[in-house]
Amino acid sequence: MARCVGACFIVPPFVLERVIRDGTPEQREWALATLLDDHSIRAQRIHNALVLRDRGRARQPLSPAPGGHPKRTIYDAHQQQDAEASDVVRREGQPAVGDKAVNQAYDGLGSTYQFYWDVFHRNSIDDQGLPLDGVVHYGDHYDNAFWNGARMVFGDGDGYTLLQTTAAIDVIGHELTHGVTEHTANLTYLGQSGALNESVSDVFGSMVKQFALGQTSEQADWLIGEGIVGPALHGKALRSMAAPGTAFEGDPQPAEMRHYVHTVSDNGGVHINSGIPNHAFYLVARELGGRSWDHAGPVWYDTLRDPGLRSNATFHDFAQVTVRAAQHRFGSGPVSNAVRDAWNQVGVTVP
Amino acid sequence: MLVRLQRSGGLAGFTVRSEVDSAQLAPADRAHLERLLGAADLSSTPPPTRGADRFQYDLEVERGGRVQRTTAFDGALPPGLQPLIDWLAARRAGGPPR
Repeated sequence: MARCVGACFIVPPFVLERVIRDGTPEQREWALATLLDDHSIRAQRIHNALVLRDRGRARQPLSPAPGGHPKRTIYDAHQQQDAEASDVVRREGQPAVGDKAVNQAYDGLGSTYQFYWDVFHRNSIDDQGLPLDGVVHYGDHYDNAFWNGARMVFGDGDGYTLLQTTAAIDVIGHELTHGVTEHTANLTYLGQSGALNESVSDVFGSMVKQFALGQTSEQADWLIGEGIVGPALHGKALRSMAAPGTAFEGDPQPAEMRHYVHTVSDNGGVHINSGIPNHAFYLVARELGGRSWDHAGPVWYDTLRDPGLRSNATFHDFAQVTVRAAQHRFGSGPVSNAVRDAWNQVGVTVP
Repeated sequence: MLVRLQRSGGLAGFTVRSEVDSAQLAPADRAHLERLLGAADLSSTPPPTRGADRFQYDLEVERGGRVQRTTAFDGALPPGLQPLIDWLAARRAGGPPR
């Protein structure tokens, strides 16, 4: 490589980096050649980092979508157990159709997207504008709704225990949040980390509903699935965050650690023991008053995105990160105290 | 022969159980159950599916004092298990799902 002749000066690597990033093609070539001519380890490292970054960029669109607008597609499974259903019944921006379940799924996914965007500036499930795909009329009298790792899938219910599952906005928020969790903390769906995964979906699902209704923590019903329980349950909802174990006759949810249920069913009781962290969130929100997404919500959201939260986190691990997140965002004071007190009240001791 | 099916999990998290005693079945039903059991692969252990809120199925077949147990998840059921699950679920008596 040609050595400099005449006026020769050393250009600091950070200047070269800037030229490589922002310069004209000629300037970039010069800067890269200069970097390559510098045999220092530092220059090598910067060069490697730039190459890696540019490789990463190639996978991203040149100008990323600005965000703020969902990209929804609703599919009809026509009562088949086919989550890959390909019959599109409503695309983004299209008007309402004659099928109530289709419109409920479309609207619910839209409300959930709006909640995440307005409150946390999160652009969809992956924060990269992932399209939202919903499947309705899954299965024959199918009494469930689920996240399959790519789509939010809704059954019509058996009419006996569960009614049309798209009718509850918090349930739609619950399913979409499973996607958010998968793209953040990725809490393992088993035992305590699985119950945390479930609880996070209830917490954000409930906030989606409160946000859509403009409710304060005091006005909210803190129920999950209100309006989709069938007559056989003799209840008002699937779960109660305010009073776990009281949503329907025989509701098995505990509200405190001393009633933690050890079982091999339900992936180790993920829908049962979620009552404990659910209640902790409720206590924080009620203690602080106002709207749940002003203080309690951001603490839980920061926790979910905290690199220190492991996939196999226990309730105790999660609680510790919430206290730290509260201190980090709001300083040591009423919020972090409320978070610590709430966990202690449900029997998860945090110093 | 006793065949027990427990379904747990799902969004609602209810546990639903059904049990069939082949001795109590009409001959045609007994033969049908045997055919369903013969067609279902109860020895494989499929990996749990991705996602969340999927049903968990725990199946027990008790025959001559020997019990065979299988756990499977909706969306990743072993071959032949779905028709057996559907048949057992359809025979479930009414009442609260617990």
